[in-house]
Amino acid sequence: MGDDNRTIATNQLYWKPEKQAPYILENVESTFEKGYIYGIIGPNGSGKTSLIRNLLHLVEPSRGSVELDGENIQNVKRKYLARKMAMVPQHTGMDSTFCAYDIVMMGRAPYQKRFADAGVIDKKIVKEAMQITDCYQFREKEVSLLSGGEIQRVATARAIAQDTDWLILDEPTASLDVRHQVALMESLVGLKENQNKSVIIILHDINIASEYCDRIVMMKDGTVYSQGSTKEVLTCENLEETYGIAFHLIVEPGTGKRYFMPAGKRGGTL
Amino acid sequence: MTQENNQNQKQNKKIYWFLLLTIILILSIFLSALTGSAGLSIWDSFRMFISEIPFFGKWVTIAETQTVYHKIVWEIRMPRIMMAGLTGYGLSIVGVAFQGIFKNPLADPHILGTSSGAALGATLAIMAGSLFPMTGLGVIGASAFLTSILTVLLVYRIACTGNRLSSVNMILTGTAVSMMLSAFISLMMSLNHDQIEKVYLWTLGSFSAAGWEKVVFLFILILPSSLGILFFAKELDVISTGDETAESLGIDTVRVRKLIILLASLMVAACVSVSGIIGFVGLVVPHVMRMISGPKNKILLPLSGAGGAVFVIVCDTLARNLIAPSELPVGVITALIGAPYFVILLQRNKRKLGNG
Repeated sequence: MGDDNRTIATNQLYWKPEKQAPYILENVESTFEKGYIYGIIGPNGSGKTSLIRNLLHLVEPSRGSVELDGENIQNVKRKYLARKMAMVPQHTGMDSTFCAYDIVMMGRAPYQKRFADAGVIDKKIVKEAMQITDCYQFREKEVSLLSGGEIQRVATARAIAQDTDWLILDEPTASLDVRHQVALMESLVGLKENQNKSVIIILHDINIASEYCDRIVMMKDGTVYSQGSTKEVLTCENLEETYGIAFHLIVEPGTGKRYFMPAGKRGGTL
Repeated sequence: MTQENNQNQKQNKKIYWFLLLTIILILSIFLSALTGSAGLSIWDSFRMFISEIPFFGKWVTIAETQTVYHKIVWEIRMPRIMMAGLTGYGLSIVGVAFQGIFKNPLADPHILGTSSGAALGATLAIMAGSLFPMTGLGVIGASAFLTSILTVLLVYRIACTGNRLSSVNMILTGTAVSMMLSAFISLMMSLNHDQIEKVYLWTLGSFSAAGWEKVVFLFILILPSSLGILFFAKELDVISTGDETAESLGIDTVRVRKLIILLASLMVAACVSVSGIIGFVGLVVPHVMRMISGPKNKILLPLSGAGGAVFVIVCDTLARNLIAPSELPVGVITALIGAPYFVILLQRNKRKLGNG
């Protein structure tokens, strides 16, 4: 338990969905260290989702490898991975008649015996997870009746209930209102600080990333364009290079918080 | 705490449903055995039953016609009822499993071409039987079973491009292969006019050729396979919320799908080869039971099995009694009763129908 060098790393990772297709990921070299919140940013189609699908072993790499704590995840059992990494998918696709509580309880599946009912500990963890993402109040509602943002919170609660070292989230803020976006990010910070969890999160909102992420992996055209501390990576130069539009940096006097304003074509880079 | 109580109450309610269904199942077996066109009064059949029970039997005196009655109830009616029950049980459980793994509320046990495959085998055997008189009913069943398994293997091979197993591919391939085989059967029928009626009646489904050896055959194939599917109840729950989610929760979705398709195909092939194609059961019973039990497969699977058994036993009892002494094809009754009932339920519970 005690070692602090737990990492997820990609080694010269190449990936394409099928043999004839062009590579979606090319030579991705990235390292995710324990104890940080990593934001993955980059334009549409830059390979962000493909990267985390590779990290989670939802697909097989075409070349190269993904390593969890130094071990190639292709050699690791799926059930073991499920106790190490939890995912919140981009499209939850939940058109199910299960109630929210049952969905979150599925997060306990990697720990439960076949046919066994939920134990006291399972119930406690599920309740806490649902309270963290503010969805315990509609626990008995069928998920197909929930709104997109509510479903997103249920899916996030399920990942938290999975009780893993790593939480990997694919654009969880996309369908959330501002209040719940902030609440989610703050709860992730809380999970990092209180429960020693590490987070990898795809974000489109650069300012949310700038505010809450410790490290940034910036992607462009299927490969890592830049990675490092948030301050180093998030610069107008890098953003202009990856997104192809101009940005203004606004530094809040006093706090030193950095905000990026997209300036559109007026910057003249397109 | 209140929530836990709620959860427990719900659980208890479902157990009551299960008990109720079991009682209905036993009653329907009993009543079905008592009714029939053999000129045996209900009272006589009842005494027949009692006399078979040890200890109680001493109190009942049976008339001399005993042996005939005995034969009717135990060698004609009971195997038929058991066959109907096992078929209903098997088809309904496969319906639940297929609706789960294909995430499609329209999936039914015949969707992978199993039944058309069986029909082809039966047709071939019937046609061959007209040439070589020694081929009997057992040959038709065996041939149907074999072709039905071969058909699923074929569908599986075609649909399985790459190492992924796509639900949509499976369903479309199954449908295409089914249509091709049906066309082939039609072709053979139009070339052999004298056998048309026999083939047609076979495809409608019937339990009239029941016998204990068929019951044993069904039992051996269906019971272990259904327990095998029940073994994956939790995996089915999680898969219904999405493949990638299921995989990130530690479930090997490809392996689970393969095993369930294998077990389900054995069950369907067994059902279809002994009793022909009985439609509607595997589609409707799971939906009706889901309205009672909710989406959890641990409860839904056994409940659907029991419900399917009751449904088919009742339908078959009607099939052989409504126009006695001749009888109706059971497939006609299942659809005639099942379809309107289903539509009424749909109207009442518009929201409750989902693929979860």
